[in-house]
Amino acid sequence: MRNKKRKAQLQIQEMAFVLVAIILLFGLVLLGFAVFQSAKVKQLAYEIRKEKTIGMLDSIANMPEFSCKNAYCLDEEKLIAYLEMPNEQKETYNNIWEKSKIALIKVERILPEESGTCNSQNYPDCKTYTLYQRNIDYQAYSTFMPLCYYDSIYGWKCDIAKLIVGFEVPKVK
Amino acid sequence: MINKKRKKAQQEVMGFVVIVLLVIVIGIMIFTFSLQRSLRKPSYIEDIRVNDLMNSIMQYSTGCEFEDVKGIIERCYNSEKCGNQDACDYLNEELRKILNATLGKEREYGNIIGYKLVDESGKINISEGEERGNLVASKYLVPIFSGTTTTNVEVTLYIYFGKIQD
Repeated sequence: MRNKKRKAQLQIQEMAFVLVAIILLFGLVLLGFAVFQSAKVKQLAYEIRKEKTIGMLDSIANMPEFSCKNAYCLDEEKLIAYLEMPNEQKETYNNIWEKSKIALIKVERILPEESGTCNSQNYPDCKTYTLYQRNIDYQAYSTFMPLCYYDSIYGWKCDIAKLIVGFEVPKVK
Repeated sequence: MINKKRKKAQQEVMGFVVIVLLVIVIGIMIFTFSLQRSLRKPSYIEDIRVNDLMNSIMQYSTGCEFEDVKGIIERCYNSEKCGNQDACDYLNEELRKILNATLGKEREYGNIIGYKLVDESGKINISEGEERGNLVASKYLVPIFSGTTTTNVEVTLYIYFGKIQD
């Protein structure tokens, strides 16, 4: 009788241990799954932001404020006009860029090789047009674009440029 | 007594089998996840960049009477000249210069392994680096007017990427 009771106690103890082990195992699996899911969500957020930026490259290149009339290119004279726009007018655009989480819009002439910042006096013999810039952390993507202007002797002339768009990097809390 | 012992042994074996199966299932899940991460597809920013580069090259104004690359291709097919030089030689020189200025740095320090710009007839033939890795290509049709007929020449730009950029 005493022996039987002892055996039963041992069996209960054994079962309790097994149950604890199973719970721990499932706990670990769940923890792993949660980590995996959170990494997946972070990756998804990053991908969405990236796709939005890449889409923005095309949108900016196609904006009537910057694009050529007849072809898929950037009109250098329009870029100069944008740079020389009064600040009150620029504010409307700046608000749009800020709402779209854009931190940088820049056009860089690659060919022919030039240097310096562009303005109405030195274009087209210059390199960089900084159309918008905010002093925050950003991730930038770029694409190639024809940068065209009207030459009074030779007519319509196109160089090769890079359109660079930077997107705000979200702060990790 | 023997029967009871055998039954208990069978139960323990079953329990062991269940645990082994559970471990295998978890292992497969982890393996699948890691495989998915390593087989990441080429990003579509590369597609956009290659197409935009092709478009930029074709519109670029060369030093040959400020004619664009499309115009020089037409001259090349019509066996014309650029100054004193054969138009095809001039075209290949210009294209090499353009590709070096646009993709050269990325080939040296970035994720581009190699590139190739060719047409159907072999009049345009520029290649640099190795032809391996992820390939992104862009085609451009250039209309050639010669006398009364018009034909289209297909120019293709191939870019080979190594590790795909995030």
